[in-house]
Amino acid sequence: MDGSRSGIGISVADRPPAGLLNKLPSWFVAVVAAPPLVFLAIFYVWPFGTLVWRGLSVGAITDTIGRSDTWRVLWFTTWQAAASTALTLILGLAPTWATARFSFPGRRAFLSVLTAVFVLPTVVIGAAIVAVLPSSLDRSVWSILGAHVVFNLAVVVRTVGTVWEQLPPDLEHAAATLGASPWATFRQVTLPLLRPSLAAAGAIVFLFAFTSFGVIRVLGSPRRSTIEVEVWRRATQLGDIGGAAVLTVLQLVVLAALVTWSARAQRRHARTINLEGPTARRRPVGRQRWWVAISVGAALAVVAMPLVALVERSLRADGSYSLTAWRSLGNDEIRPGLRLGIDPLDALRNSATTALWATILAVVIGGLAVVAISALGRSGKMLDTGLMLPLGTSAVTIGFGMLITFDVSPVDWRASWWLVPVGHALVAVPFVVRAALGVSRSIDPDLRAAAATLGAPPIRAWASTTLPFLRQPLATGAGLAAAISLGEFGATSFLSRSGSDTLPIAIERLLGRTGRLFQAQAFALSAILAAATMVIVMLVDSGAATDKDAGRARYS
Amino acid sequence: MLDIRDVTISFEDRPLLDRVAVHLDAGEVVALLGPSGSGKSTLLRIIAGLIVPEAGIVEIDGIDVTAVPTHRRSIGMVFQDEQLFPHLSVTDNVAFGLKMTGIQAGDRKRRAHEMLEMVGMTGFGDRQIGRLSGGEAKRVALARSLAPSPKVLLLDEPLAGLDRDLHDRLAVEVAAILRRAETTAVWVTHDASEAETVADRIVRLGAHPAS
Repeated sequence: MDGSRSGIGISVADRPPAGLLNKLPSWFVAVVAAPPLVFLAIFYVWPFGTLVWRGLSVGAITDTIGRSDTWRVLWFTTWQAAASTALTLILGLAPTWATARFSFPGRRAFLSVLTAVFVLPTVVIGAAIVAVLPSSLDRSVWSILGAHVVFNLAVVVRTVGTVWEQLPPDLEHAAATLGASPWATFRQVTLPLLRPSLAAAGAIVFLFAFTSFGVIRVLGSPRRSTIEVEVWRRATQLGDIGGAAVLTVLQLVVLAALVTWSARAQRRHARTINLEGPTARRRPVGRQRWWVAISVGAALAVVAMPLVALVERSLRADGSYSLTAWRSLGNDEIRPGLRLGIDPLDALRNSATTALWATILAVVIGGLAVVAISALGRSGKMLDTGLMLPLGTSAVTIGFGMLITFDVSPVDWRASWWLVPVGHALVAVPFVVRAALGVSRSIDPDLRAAAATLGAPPIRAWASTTLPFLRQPLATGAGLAAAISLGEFGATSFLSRSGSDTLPIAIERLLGRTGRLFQAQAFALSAILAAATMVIVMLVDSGAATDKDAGRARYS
Repeated sequence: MLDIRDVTISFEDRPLLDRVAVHLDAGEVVALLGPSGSGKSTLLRIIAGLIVPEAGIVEIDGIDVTAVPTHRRSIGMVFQDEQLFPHLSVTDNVAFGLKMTGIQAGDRKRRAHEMLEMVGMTGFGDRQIGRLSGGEAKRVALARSLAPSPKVLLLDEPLAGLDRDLHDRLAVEVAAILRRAETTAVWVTHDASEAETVADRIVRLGAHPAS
């Protein structure tokens, strides 16, 4: 090496590869990558590992498998998920057809309503179903199926609709010229072509229904309990941590098998269809108008009636219409001197504070992660995947893992106020990363090169060409994080301390009490929570839209 | 065999077809010739029952079918972009119309095989639709629409999108197939020489008043 150093300039050996010349310094990357990595390791990987470890203990496994109610729960979880999926697919077909094939006044509003319901907290949906159904059906299996249908109709209409609107109508016309009646055309041509998208939508709905927690907590009973609810019941009500851990692992195994199977099935049925982009939607004519009106009207009734009932019932604390429930939100006295221990107004305050901290945490961690992922190159992919893991893990699993991990000193954090926001942030970080990563990737690298040619050192060049673009997507991520935190129920059920209940917890507890006033209060709180979630998601939606437009203008 | 009388339709308040009348004898192949926007494809879709005219009558084999839905009109149609069913094999595509008329599976298969032979596609029965070339797809589409022996065959620019050489060869070939099958056919095209090649008679739409 010495010999080559005698020449002018630097040797080939000392010269960094061209790509690395303007790289961000590695200490900077390390500083940025450390917080998300540590956060993920402490609050996700460790608890998850602890949970799986506990769930794999032989004694607990034989104990749990030997209990008959384990199998009853598994059976109920599976069949209610299958029934919910079938019902949602069947009821979703007509509105999907109407919105994919036709243009009519109110079409977009209808789709927005479906989506708005989809983002509502599960506890709110449960409360809305309680509000709309006669009390004889309150805790029946129909209420559970109904809640899952209301919730997931948007999945079918969106997933199947995007394929349906791309099927050329002439394909169905061709079947008609060959003598196929409308029904035969649907059976023989349309349905087979929709099958892959129906399977995809069905898999999503099944997954949601299988891991249903909030809905079942509100509408289920000890005999109608999903694995998730049983995990919660055994862990927090019966103190059977081992059994709960085994059930968690069992659910993980079932879900993994399910996802693998559905991915494989979809690959097998993948077919090259030349979808030509959405064909023009027509105005319905003649009898079609009736069918479209009926399809959309019925779906709208199914989805909107529970929400209307929620507001209506909140105004009927006693026999007639009044604001009693709303006025008494700050008062938890059952009788003078006797308190219920659930203060609705207090829950509202708690939820707001929790959401604030969860949002800050999620945006900081998510923002740093986005920076680290784009700076790290290939190893950034691993961080990206790692941060997506909480998304594939149920909130119950996350909360349960944290509960049993952080219970010994020096990490006995169960009494800490910040554990709930941390759990919420864990659930929300993937959404923040998704929102911002796309934007950061779409930034033209030449922009940074341009800054470098103007004399900006690497960090400066990177900061001045990246940070301004991240502001909007991070705001979007913040909105999503806030909405998620406000409605989060699964993890909170494990982490929340009594006396500092969040809104969903308070709603569930109020609904569990007998007494009209408590029910009405629960409905009022649900209405507040629903409104807050919808407003946030609408703001996020319009923000993301203007962001996209601005991006297009910027780059065109 | 096919009688169209006084068919009238307008689009966005502009008359597109104004009291059009066309008559076809059995076994006759008529070319509907006209520039794009002259309403020739619309007329074809009116005959098929895919569009309902504002006024006028469509008669097939002496029966007024103006209010009859497409699947009961006993017509066949070759679409401009074939519209073969992508989830079915070539044989199942050709046999589709036979299935709709309730023919047994064995007979369907035999008939489909014959039709494929007629259009020069023997041995292609198990192919996937996505693996056909442009010319092959056109042949399969023709076989599919002829298989149920429709009373009238409607062809909407059936040779569009092929290169000149293949186009000319197929035009002659398809015309021969139609003659052999003794099909009554309406062939829509904007290409005068194609019309000359394939048709017994040419009906002009658009620039010239319908004759």
